[in-house]
Amino acid sequence: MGKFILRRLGISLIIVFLVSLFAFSLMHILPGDPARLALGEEASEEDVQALREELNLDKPLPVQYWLWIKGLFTGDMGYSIIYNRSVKEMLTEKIPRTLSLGIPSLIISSVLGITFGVLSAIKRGKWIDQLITFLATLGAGTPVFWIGIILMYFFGVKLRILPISGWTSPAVDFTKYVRQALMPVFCLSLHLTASISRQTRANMLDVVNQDYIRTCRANGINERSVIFRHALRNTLIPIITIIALQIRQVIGGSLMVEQVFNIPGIGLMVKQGIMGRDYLVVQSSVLIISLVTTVCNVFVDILYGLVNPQIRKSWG
Amino acid sequence: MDKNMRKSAFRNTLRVFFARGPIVIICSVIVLLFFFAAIFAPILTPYTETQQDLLNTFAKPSGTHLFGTDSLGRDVFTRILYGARVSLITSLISSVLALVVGSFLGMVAGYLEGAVGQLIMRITDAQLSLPPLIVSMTLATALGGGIWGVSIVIAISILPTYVRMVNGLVLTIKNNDFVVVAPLVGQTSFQVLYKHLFPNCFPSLIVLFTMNLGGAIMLESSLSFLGIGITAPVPAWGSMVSDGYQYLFKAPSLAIVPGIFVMLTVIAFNIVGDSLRDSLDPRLRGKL
Repeated sequence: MGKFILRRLGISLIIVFLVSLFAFSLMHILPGDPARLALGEEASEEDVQALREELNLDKPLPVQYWLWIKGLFTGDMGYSIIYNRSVKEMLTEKIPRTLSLGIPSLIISSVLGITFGVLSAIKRGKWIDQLITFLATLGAGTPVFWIGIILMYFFGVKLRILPISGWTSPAVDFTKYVRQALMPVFCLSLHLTASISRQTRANMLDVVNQDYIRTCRANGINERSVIFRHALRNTLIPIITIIALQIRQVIGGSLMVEQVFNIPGIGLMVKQGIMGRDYLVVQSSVLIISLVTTVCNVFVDILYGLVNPQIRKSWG
Repeated sequence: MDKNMRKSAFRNTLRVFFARGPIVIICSVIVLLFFFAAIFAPILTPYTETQQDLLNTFAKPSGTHLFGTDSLGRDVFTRILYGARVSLITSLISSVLALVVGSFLGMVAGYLEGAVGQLIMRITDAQLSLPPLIVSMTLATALGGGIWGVSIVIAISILPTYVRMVNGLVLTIKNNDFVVVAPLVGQTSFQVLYKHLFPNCFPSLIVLFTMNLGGAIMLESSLSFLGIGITAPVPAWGSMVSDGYQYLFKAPSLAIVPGIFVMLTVIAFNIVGDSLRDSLDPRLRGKL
């Protein structure tokens, strides 16, 4: 067991290292000089050169990479050249905002998706299955940016019952937060609910056709117990993997939703960072998002290994 | 296989394809219409996609302008047709790129395993832990948008699906006798890849290809919406929505109409893809 966990941790360390390389190179292949962009066209060449030196942009790439990583380990993430603020401070401000929308949507879509999927599988072929399948197809095919605009138009402009955009901290004004969060959370949950529901239905149908379920029924165990005690457990394992992969969306924020509803979270910050070549802001945000995703995935994997000896074996 | 058996197998495939009911027929028609609109756009409309008419902006839908005109007096119907063209070209190029590169990487990783295989799969894992839209956006900015830029970005974004699927398939196929024996009769690894492994992955690849087209169209419109995909004056459905968004109060249909086309096309491709999977490769049900 110890070996399994160690191996899994080793692999994730490699992944995190690769991600840091990705994030670094992604930013550095962008054309344009960050110092020039930050100071504007009128700035003198000396000023730009001075800023370049201050930002270590004059150093070779491997050195820049090393300085960035070293900074992360010592808790110094550097400064944003656009906002002139420390990256750490910006992240601690933006992450809770993104989470305040991401976590509710993750919970809502998991609960709804699994319920719909199970219901659909149990009532296979009945009208309720057809309705859920139809809604899931519709949900998966709706562009998030478009449905956001439509909702905003109907509820914000026509009916005037919800604020059209913005974000308020739930700690400051909870009712206002809920009213502002309703539409963004709906948009964030749409695709996820659809995909969890589809996947749950497919897995459930697979499991229900297996021998041990037939044996359960043959032994006279009641249907409710067959579904919830025996079938559902095995159905949920792959679903949890899907949900764990979505963590990158939850803390990464949906750029799309933040753009439409003008929510100043991680997504918009990174977008502005890319436009303004704010290397450190983008690199560090991307790395943190991936780090959390990877940690969650490792956690889920280890959990599986603990529960299911077969999986543990296949991991070697 | 004799002729009758082949005929009945084909009939069975068709039966399963249409098993979901009339919705499959409707969606197939939408897909055909989409191809038709994209290919024959110039013939289907008297206007061009960039032709402005500043005296006739925000026109209501009418006989001369089926969906009205936009803020510059351009015919919305015409731009929708040309937008279909952009969506079709980018989704096809990107899916072909992803299929070729992804299946090659997946086969190599599955067949050779070892250090190379590990590296390929770990890079795939790493990509799957990155926030997808942020990566696409950075790449699109670096490549400068345009049809090719956007296609490459979408290809990279859907690559992991192909790598993982092909890798999984190869891992199960490679222990069959005909693959194990191949090197013993003198075939090189490369020959094994394209003579034995690739043909066996092919049906699943075709299915995944169709299923991904809808996703590619969605991604293209999302990037265009963010203003980093296909740039003006070339019409793309996503950028039409974001242009119309500015006039939401004055002419809501400008933002709503192109979105309906994105939705219809994506749903149609998804359902046709699902049906194709059921009829060609039922093993994949629930895995894609």
